[in-house]
Amino acid sequence: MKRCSCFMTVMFASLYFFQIPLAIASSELITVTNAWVRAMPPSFKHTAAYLTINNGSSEKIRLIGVKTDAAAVGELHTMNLANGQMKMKQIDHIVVQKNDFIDLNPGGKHIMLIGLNRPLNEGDRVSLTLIFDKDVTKELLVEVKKNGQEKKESMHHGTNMKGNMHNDH
Amino acid sequence: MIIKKINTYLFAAMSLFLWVSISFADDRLRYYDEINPGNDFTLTDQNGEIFSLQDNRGKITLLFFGYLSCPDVCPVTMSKISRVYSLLTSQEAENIKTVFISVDTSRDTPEKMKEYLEFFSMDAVGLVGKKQLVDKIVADYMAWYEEVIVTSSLGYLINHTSYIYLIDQKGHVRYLFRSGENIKHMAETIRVVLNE
Repeated sequence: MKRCSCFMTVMFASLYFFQIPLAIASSELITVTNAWVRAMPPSFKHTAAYLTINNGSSEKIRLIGVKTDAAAVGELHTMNLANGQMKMKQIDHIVVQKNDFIDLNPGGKHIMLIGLNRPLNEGDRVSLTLIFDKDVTKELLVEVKKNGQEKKESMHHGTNMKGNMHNDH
Repeated sequence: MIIKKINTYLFAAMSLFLWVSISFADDRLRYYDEINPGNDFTLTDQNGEIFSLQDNRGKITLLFFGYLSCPDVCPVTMSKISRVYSLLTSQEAENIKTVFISVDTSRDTPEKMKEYLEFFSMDAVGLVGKKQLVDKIVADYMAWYEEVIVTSSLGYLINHTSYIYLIDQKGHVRYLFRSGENIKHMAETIRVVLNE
């Protein structure tokens, strides 16, 4: 018994002395950047949301759900593009490792907003609630854009688009 | 001494030529005779009018399969093609037509296709048709799609071929651009076929 309490004392003293950080996942340590929702034509009932989740905590977290004011349902999906085939499927969570980040990008893991309850025009704002395990939630207000990452890339090029597709406004 | 110098220059020039040849050699640019040997198909476009591939003779066609209910990959494909266009001259771009065939024969209509293309400011041909017709074209292009019933609220998803087919001025498939294809490479390949 004496040996046990000695051990505990040494352990807590070590924690105090070395200031070992115990950054437990919390909404402050989970940050979200580069968030955008794709604008779709008014009669279309689905769209996608993209963002980067930064996990500054010292434990891995899982994104397990999404709620929004703009659609009936938010779902997590992934896209597999290989061998000339495009395969999308619903997934039940997305892991973000400790002190790491994950990009949800077009053509990869992304959030589907299904059953839109209003047309989403470019410049509109959509509220998203990201639900993580460990009782962490993250409230966001996300801008609607026709193109997000794709636009950035295309701005480096000229605009010789006569008679052809023109996504880059 | 002079001969030695000339030899050095000659060797450098030959090395450069070889390097350029190897760099630009692309055995994926060829005639895919096994793909749609008839070099034609016919479907209904976004204006409700009949479109045949033959209408596009003399121009290059960039053909891809997709569907309108998925807001992820199809806008990405369109955006990618638009970036390829931005690397071409206006004269080159005028000799290319993009054709989008919907494989969602139950949900997609000419009206929806028109709304979609206009929304994304695409001057492309969007084609829809009955399942039997679309399936034949999919088979002719050795493409593939499958409806996947999921627990998702989407009802069903469609997995499909992600290639962009480069079809030359005579209707022959000449290149299959993959999803990860570099846009500069795409523009250069198109330019090679345009200049044939």
